[in-house]
Amino acid sequence: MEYVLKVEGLTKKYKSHPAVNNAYMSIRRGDIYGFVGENGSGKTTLIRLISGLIFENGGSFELFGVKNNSKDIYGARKKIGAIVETPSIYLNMSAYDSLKMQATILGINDEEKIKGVLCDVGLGELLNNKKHVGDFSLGMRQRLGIAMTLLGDPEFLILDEPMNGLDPAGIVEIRELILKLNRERGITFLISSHILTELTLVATKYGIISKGTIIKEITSEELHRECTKTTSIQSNDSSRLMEVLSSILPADMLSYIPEGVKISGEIDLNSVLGTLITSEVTLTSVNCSETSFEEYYLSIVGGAK
Amino acid sequence: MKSLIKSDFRRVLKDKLFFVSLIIGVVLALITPIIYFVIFKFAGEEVETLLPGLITAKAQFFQSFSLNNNLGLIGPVLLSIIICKDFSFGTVRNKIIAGKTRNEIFFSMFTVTAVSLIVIMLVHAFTSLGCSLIFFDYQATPFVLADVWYFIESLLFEIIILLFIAALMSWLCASMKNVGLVIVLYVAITFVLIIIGSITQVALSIFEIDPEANQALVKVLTFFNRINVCNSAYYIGIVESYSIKDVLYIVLPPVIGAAGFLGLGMLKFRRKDLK
Repeated sequence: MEYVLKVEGLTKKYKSHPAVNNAYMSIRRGDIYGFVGENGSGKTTLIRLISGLIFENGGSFELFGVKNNSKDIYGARKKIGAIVETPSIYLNMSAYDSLKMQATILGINDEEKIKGVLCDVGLGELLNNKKHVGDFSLGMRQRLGIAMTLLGDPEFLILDEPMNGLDPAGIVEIRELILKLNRERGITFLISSHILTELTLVATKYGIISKGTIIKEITSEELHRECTKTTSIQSNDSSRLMEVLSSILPADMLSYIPEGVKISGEIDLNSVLGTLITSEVTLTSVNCSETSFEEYYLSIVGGAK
Repeated sequence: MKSLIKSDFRRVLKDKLFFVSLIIGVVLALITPIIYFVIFKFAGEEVETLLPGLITAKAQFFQSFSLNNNLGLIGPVLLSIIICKDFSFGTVRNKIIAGKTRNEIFFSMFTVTAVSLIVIMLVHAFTSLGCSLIFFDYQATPFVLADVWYFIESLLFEIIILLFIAALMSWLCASMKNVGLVIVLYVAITFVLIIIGSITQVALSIFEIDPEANQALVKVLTFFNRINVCNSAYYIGIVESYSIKDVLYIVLPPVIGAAGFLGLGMLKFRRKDLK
């Protein structure tokens, strides 16, 4: 599997304080990598290091297989697009002029492409609008920032808090845009966000960072298993309970708990209870619970603290 | 590199402040000859005693390049604001993420700063020349072919001095955290150079009339007076023709200074953490 980004022991210190401390991370081509962490955990610093805006004190990273200290890193960077913290836009220019500026930097002289990316992010109506970007809402700036990153046909897009300042409709639009770009153009994403539930709607892999260290990397499948619904059924006869449940549910969903059995995953509770009653299993308690991504995240980060 | 320079020029041309600088340059260029003309009208023949050597278009033209005048300060300050917007808007990040090297970004910034500054100063100087020619002769003596070479030579010297200013501005823009600090430091540096220049000039003029003055001190003061870049512009257009010594004094300090500031700026920018 081809890796777009591999981070190995990356460290960045400000004076003696480590903002990123011995971080490891890997993103495969096609991934949508949800990057999660509390404020000041080092998300943006790590993104800045990868983008080449700041320099590391230790460790290294590979971008498209190119080491960060290699001269070829500039070529590798041409394949990425990034919005770090806030979109970098010329506030004294119109949306079209801002895009034209970025196109000039990238050596692109294609008017249709500029129009295309503006339409892609839902700002097509601004094509002939002379309003300065400084007068735009934060949401519009975010979209324009994404449009600027798309100009260079990136293979890897880094978006730092892209949902910040967006209204609910804007969040849905950006989410759909991310999924569309990933699906249709195969763009790999690294998205940092505080809105964990929003990340779960797009991410295929997650990295949880705390105090500058990535403490957990988990795929969406693994997370789904960790966060899935559980139903705990207790009985005076656990063995009989397990026997009946094994006949109607897959074995990997079942595990013993004290005086009962835990079922992991979605089930038709009425049907299961009906089967248990007709099988004359005496039940003492039934409890349903679900671990959310937030709860899972807090359990991981809490562990780190 | 070409695309960076193109985008930086585009950025400057899209900025209203650049046109404000040009307008200020034109207005200031018109004011001085008009004032001198009015004085000339009132003072008549005595004007040459009041303002020796200034009532020619040539003198007005070369004086307009001085770093000690209004535009010598306003021009670079306004240009600093334009150039530093790349840092204050964070748009310099787009260049790095687009795979441009820091050396390319720095030299593009220097090139565009230098060309923009030269354009502002040339517009100012040629407007001053044009306006002065309406009221006064080009020079007291008839214009000969040798004057064309002298004019071109002087113009090249002025451009070299402006390159020094552009290098100083680029170093400050690349090293400082905000545009305010860039402006304060630029003004402070030029102010110190101008003050030192004035002090050495005054001291030398005092020593000139003192036959018992310490000649070694006079030599040192003369040397420091001539290597002061803010004084270099003063000597352009004053002498009849440039000796090798004049050329070296006018050209070397700004060239060495510009190389120094470019080197410092590049070293700083290459390892600078960008927000």
